[in-house]
Parts: sequence; C-alpha cells; structure tokens
Amino acid sequence: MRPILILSEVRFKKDGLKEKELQKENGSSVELKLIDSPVDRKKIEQILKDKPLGTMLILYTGGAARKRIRRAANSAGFSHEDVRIGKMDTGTYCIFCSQCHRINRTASLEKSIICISCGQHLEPSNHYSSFQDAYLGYPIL
Amino acid sequence: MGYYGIFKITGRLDVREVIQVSRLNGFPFPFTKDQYTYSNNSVPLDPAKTITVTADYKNELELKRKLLQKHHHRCFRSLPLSMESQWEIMLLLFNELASCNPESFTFQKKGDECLFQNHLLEEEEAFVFRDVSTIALEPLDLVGRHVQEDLILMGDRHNGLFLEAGQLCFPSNWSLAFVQGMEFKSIHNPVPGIQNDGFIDKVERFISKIRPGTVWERKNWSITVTNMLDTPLETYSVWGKHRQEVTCENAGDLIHLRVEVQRLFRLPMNHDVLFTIHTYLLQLNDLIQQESWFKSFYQNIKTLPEEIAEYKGISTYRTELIRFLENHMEKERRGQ
Amino acid sequence: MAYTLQLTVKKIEHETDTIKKFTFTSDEIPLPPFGAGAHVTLHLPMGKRQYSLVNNPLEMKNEYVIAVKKISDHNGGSGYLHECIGQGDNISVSPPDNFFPLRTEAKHHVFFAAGIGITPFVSMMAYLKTIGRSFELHYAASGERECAFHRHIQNHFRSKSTFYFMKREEKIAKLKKALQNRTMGTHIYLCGPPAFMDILLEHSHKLRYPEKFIHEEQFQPAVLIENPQPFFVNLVKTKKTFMVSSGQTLLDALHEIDIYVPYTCRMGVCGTCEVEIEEGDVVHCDSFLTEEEKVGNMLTCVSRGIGHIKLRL
Ligand SMILES: [Zn+2]
Repeated sequence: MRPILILSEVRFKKDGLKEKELQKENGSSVELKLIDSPVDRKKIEQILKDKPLGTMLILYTGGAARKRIRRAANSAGFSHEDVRIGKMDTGTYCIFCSQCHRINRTASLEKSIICISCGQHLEPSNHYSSFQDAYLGYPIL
Repeated sequence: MGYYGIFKITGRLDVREVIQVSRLNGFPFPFTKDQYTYSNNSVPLDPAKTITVTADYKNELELKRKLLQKHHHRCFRSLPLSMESQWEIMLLLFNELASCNPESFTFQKKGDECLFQNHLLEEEEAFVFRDVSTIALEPLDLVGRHVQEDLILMGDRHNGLFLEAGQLCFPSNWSLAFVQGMEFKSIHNPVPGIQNDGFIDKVERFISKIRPGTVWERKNWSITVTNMLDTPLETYSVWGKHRQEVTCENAGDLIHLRVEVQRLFRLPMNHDVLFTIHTYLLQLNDLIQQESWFKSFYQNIKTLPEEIAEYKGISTYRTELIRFLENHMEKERRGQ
Repeated sequence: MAYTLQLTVKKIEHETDTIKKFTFTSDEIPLPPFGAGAHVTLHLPMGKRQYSLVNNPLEMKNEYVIAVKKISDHNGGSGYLHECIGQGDNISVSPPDNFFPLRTEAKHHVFFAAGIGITPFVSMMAYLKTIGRSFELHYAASGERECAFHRHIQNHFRSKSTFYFMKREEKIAKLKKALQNRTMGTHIYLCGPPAFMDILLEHSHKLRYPEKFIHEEQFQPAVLIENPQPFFVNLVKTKKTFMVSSGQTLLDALHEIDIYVPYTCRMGVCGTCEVEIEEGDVVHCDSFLTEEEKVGNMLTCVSRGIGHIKLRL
C-alpha cells in the first residue's frame, strides 16, 4: 500500500477523519493534516516537502484552497494522478468565464449564470480543467 | 518559397495579383476524400520543416503583434517548467527561418551569442542563448513575433503530455487561458465521438512516440463566417453572431474555409513537443472557382455528421450553405 | 529518420584498458542537436550498433562523443571499433535518438550505474549541472582502474557522486540502501547489466515506489531470438503471401513487397511499426506492447511469426 497524506480543511474534518479510518483499514500508513482556510502557501509547501516517494495525496478542500494545494503538490513532485479529491460536499462549482477568465462560483452545473466580472451570460459545460480547478463556461448569445 | 519566390517568377504582375495567385496556389486544400472522415491523418514531412513563410507574412505579423500588445494575457501563457524548451524553440525557428528563406532572414550563432535579422520587417534580435536578461520577452513570445504560426509547447512528462506554454493569436474558438497546464487528453474533451473509441489515447500515444527531429503534419479544417484569423473563444460574442447572418445569397462572401496546417515536432534537446499551427482562410467565392475543390467541399459538407457540424459551428447555416453550393452547381451546368 | 550522417573519427582516447572514447565530427554539415540520454546508431560491417552520447547537449561543438567497452573480437561491433577504426576514418551514423530522456519535471534526479552503463549519465549530469538542477550518482564498477570516467566525474561532480568498488555482496547491500528513503519529486534512473537492473528494480518494488518514477535504459530488445526461423505471412486485406527468411525482419520483408509500415526505432521500443494479427503464433521480442495488446498485435521490427501467420494488412 502506498503511504497516504490527507489534507483537510477544518470544515471538512469529519470527512477527512472518515477517509483516514478507511485507508487505515486498507493497511496504508496514513497521515491527516488539518489546515485553516485561507491556506498559507508557505505552510502547504512545508507540509508537502520530503514525503516518501509514492505518497498519495487526498484533498478535503474546496475552492481556491484546492487549486492552490494542487499546484503546490505538482511542483513538489506529485503527479496529477497522485492527487485525489475526497468525496465531500463543497456546495459549489467553479465556472471559468471564457470571455474574461474570471472564476465564478455556482451551486449547480445545470443552470446558466451571469459572470460577476464582465456580465456575460454563461452556460457551464462539462469541460473541466484540473489546472484551473474549474469548468468552462460558454457564452450564450 | 513564399513571398520572394513568387515575386521573381511573376515579376510583371502587380502586387494584388501576386497575392491572389499565391492564395489559391498555396492554399492547403484539406479534403482528400469526397466524404467526411475523422482520423489521425498525419503524414511525415521531409525535409522536417515546422513553419512556412507565405505572401501574407507582413500583414499577419502586424495583426499578430497588435493582438499580443492589446491582449497579451489572452495570447501568451507559459509555466516556469517550459523555459528550457522555449529557448530550444527560439533557436530552432530562427535557424529554420534563415536556412529556408536566406534572402529574408539571417541567423548567426557564435558560442551562445546569437543574432537574428529579419530583413522583411527590418528588425534584429540580439541575445545570449539561455540568458533571460538579454531578452525582453519570454523566448516563445519573442520568436512567435517573427513567424505566422501559432506556437504551442506540449511538455512530455512521465505521466503524459501537458500544455505548458503557448502563443496563440489565431485560435478557432478555443481559449489558451483555459487549457494551459492541462493534460492533452482533457484539452480535447469536447470533440464528439472521440472519447468513446479511445481515439484520443491513440493520438496521444502517437505524439508521445514521435522521434527527435521528425515533423508530422496534419490539416484540420473548419468554416468561419468572418474573414478574421483571430476567432478566440474570448471574443465569441463579437464574431459568433455572424453565423445567424448567412443566407444562400451572401454565403459566397461571408463564408470562409479555414484550414489549420498543424505540425508536430519532437524537440531533440528537451524531448518536449512543439505544435505549430498555420491558419489559412479562403473565401467561398474563391474556392468555387476551382472545380475539383468545389466538388470535394460540397460532398464533405453534405456528408458531415450532425454532431460534427454542431462541433464545428456549421449547423446554424448548413442549409443555406448547401443551397448556395447547389445553386452554383446548377448555374455551372446551365452555363455549359 | 532514414538518412545517415557521414562522420569522421576526430579523436580516440583510452578511457580504461577496455574502454575507448570516440569523438566524431564533420567539416561539412552541422550535426543535429540531441538531448541528454540520447544515443547514436553506428553502421558497422556487422550491423547497426547503438551507443549513448556522453557529451553535454548544451555544449556540443559539432561533435558526438561515445564510449565503447570491448566485449568482442573484431567480428563484433565493439571489437571492430577498438581494433579496426582509427583516427581520420569515416563512419556512417544515424542521427541521435533518445529512449532515455531526462524527466525535467523532477525535483531531484538519482542515477544508478554499473560498468559501461555510466555513459548516458555522463551526458545527463553535465546537462543538469549547466541548467542548475539537483542530482546524485551511484556508480558501481569492479575497481577504480576499470571505472570509466572516474577522473572526469571526480573533477566535475565529486560532491554528488558515490563509487562502489567493494565486493559484490557488500556492493548490492549498499546500493539497495542508497535506493531507500527517497522522497516525492525524485526520479530514479538505472543503467547497467541486466542483473544489476533486476536487483534494483526488485528492490524499488519492495519499497513500493511507483514505476513511473523509475526509468531504465533500454538498448536490447526484451527477447533476443538466437536462431531466427523463416516463416510465412498472409496479408488478408491486400491478399499477398510471402516468406520472411531467417536473416530478415518482418518489417523489411513487408517493405520489400511495397507494403509500407511506418517504423522508427527498429528495436521494439517505440511501437510505430505495430500491425494487427489475424491468426497465428508470434514470438514477441519488443518491450513496448502490453500483454493484452500482444494478443492481437505485433511489432514488425523485432517480433517474428511461427510457421504461418496472417496479418490484417
Ligand atoms: Zn466574465
């Protein structure tokens, strides 16, 4: 079993703990770190540093924190597939405005939204970028 | 090739005629079959050239630079990891420009000291290889201002291909800002019917197998209802609405066949992949002058599956377009 | 890459008693650039032989440098180079290719070499030093005298290198230890004789290191057929039948009858020359196809049919 590191925002502590128990039962060595949001980049880099080769990272974080941690993990040597998003309800999706690049938050991918920055009417798509941690919003004319 | 070559041969024509001739002669007509098929139709290029200089060089470079100036954030993106490959691309393209078009460009490299001279634009770039303090822009952003192609760098990582840098001024309805940093597979997410049969996996595997120093070329076509090269997703609300304006009378003026000549090159030094895109536009009125092109174009539009038509943005005016083509056919028949 | 370069032997140096360093150049053409880990293919009377380049890709002055250990008499490639090639001689060389590239995304590179397996790392270390990246070398040899590039490594990469000249058992134990406690961001590269590679690979599995972080140099096809036998081939689409003789590859035989199957590596690593099998038994000699893919596909550059096979061509 690969070593596992769980990073959980305080608000998802319950989910993080559940994941930890589950992974322990599978026989992995598990470490759970609780983090405050907004996350401090330096602190995240410190946590991700010098993890054993083969470590799997599981995130219980949402929004900007998740994007920030994922990028820090990639530069620390975690591949895309070494970072997993835990099952939790963040309640929001991020929509990338294709007209002005602003990332909007929405509760549903089914409904169209108005970009808070440029006012464009956007239709969320299922085209997802893990780098942006957002779905592409297409303009509705 | 290109500007001067044509000029010498047809020295007595006026400039406007020269451009017209070259536009039809040099146009990379994409259809080889009389029916639509989607496949990895890549062919190896010998000699291995990644770029082409055409008669539109000056006009397109002017437009490109204007866009870069005004919308830099939209047209250029890079990740720090891309730097070494960016330098390699800059050397490669300056070298190629000079060796393939010696009357228009010169490139000298003594040790790491480099001098590139662009005689068409009367400019020069002096820099020290891999010394960022000697250039004002990132290398890819700099060299891109001397070629007509859009330039995309795909990093070949242990876990796949990733879009790590790009200078993209003439995209066909996509956003560099959105796809930067993405895996090759997810960039292509929305092409209908592609995920299902593992096609994109095969393409990725094909690209990851390209050997150093070799170039593969494929042509990708679409249709635009403007004569603009720059149709990014970011300005869709500006150019997209013209799709509603097509009638069977004005289709010949409004509609353009847009062909992207895409070339893939494995950078020998850094093992990443350079993807160049040279975009050509041909007005429908010009296209139908060539009978064989007209026939082939008509057959392809006619047999295009509905979901691909939708993907290529043709659905809105497909009926009008087909009627225009059939009217033309009828006219030709009567004329003969 | 079908073309070859006509190069001149500029210099031959003794690296050790059994290893010579050859420098090739050309006065007429600029040599194509290459990356760290790349090799060139020499066209010798006994066939094609591949050798890693040892020079720094960023400081290449129109030269390719290789190091060759003599493991045969003059009838073999290495013996021929040692005994029959001299300064000023001309030699045909295929341009560099690279099946052992550096993973530039790594935070830290760790090299394990044994014997002449050091060659790709000589180039890699020079390159990484130039671009200012972190690396270390673990290098096993039978002794200092037999250790190629020992002086060079001491001069340029002393603080990053560990040599292993001790007895076999002790050597293995120490190398295994050096493999341990590696952290995320590390990429590990192995190059040496099969036994050396196997020990370290097995140990890395034991340490649960994901395979994607471990890289091996692959020169030889996975399986070498000692006595290739002729076999018959049926092409079901083009309706052709032909024989592949014992001295011929299936790829060459296909080209001979004008069935163009694209290819690049000719050593079963790149997968370009893959074809679909309709029927029949095949000895797979490649190191590219997965076990599942081998059920219906083969690489024509190295793999052979048994008796009679049918291909979907
Ligand atoms: Zn917006």
